[in-house]
Amino acid sequence: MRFPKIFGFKLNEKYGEYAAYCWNLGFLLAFIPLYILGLMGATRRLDHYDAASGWRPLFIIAAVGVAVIFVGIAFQALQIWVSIKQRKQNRDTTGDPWNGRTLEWSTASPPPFYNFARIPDVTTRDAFWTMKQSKQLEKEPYEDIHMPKNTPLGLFIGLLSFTFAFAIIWFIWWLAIASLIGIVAAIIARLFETHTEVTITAAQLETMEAAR
Amino acid sequence: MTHSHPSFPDTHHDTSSNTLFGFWIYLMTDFIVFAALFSVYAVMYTGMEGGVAAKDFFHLKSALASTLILLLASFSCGMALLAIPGSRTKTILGFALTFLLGAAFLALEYADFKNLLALGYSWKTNASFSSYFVLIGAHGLHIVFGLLFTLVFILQLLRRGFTDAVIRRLTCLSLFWFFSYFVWIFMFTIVYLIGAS
Repeated sequence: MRFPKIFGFKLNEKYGEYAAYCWNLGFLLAFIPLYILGLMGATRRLDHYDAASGWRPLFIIAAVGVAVIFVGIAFQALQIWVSIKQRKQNRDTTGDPWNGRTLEWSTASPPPFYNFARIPDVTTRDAFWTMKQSKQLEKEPYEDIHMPKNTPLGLFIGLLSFTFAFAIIWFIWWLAIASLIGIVAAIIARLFETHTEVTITAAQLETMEAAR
Repeated sequence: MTHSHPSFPDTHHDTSSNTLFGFWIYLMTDFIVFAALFSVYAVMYTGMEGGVAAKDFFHLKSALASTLILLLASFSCGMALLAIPGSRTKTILGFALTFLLGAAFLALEYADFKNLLALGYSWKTNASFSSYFVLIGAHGLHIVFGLLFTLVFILQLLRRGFTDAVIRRLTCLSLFWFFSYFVWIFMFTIVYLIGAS
């Protein structure tokens, strides 16, 4: 649902619908027989069952359901493939492809790095909808935005935390110690950075929003 | 819809109080960690396969010395904080003293651990020793990081003086030292006093 907001183009709707139908139908076919079987006394994840139990038809229906779900998954894969190939035609240029109600649709797709050019004034639940209904899309002057600068250190700390956790689980002590030293070093490096914030001026915002 | 835009407080100047609040949340969650470790110790400290427990090897005098050293460390840390922003020398002296006392505390703990290991008892001996080593070791690890960041922030104070960021960090650091001392009071009573009685 948020796909165009994140990637800037819409997914193919036709294959999406096929996937949804297959999933719904497949899910019902796969699980309703299993519920019935459960009531009849079948436990989960049997590797075999007695033919005399008479469960076979229901298990076969469930297997058909699984196949239908698999077709649904295949449609989703196809949908992503086709959508990426046709992304130029499906580009979301407005940022609001489906006449949305909530504020994320008021930004460009994908959103600019500062997210909102102005901090929105929220007075109702669906603020963007209210703005559109009252035709009061914001037209006030921009104000400067203060933002933290990008830093790779958070990513490094995350990766090192992974290797650290992996190392202490598997008793790889050299890796654990190296990762821990790396984490602490990254934190200290961050503490010694001085200019960690950046200001986007109102004039810069004006040009960036106009180019949208 | 009226368009009286609230004059938004510049988030830039608000970060100090956010940081302090975040640090308090961190300290509270750390309390939960220690609460869990204390509970484990309370259940396990008599659980002694082989008839030995960690508590049989406590030296109350050494534990009392540790307590007093840590008390002095948080005291000197508090004095250092009071010297902000008047005197950089006093602040640095206070935190340097905190560092030395913290290091002394750690040395005593290291000696205790080494003594136990030399006698052949480790965290692998039995449940009592496991819970003892983990609980005291977790606290010791806090002291190690306290020492490290005391050094880092003394260095920052020397290089930068009393900037907003430095004051904010020193405030958090002193909170951390008080926290470490506070947790140690529980260790002294629950682990050492009860264990030795």
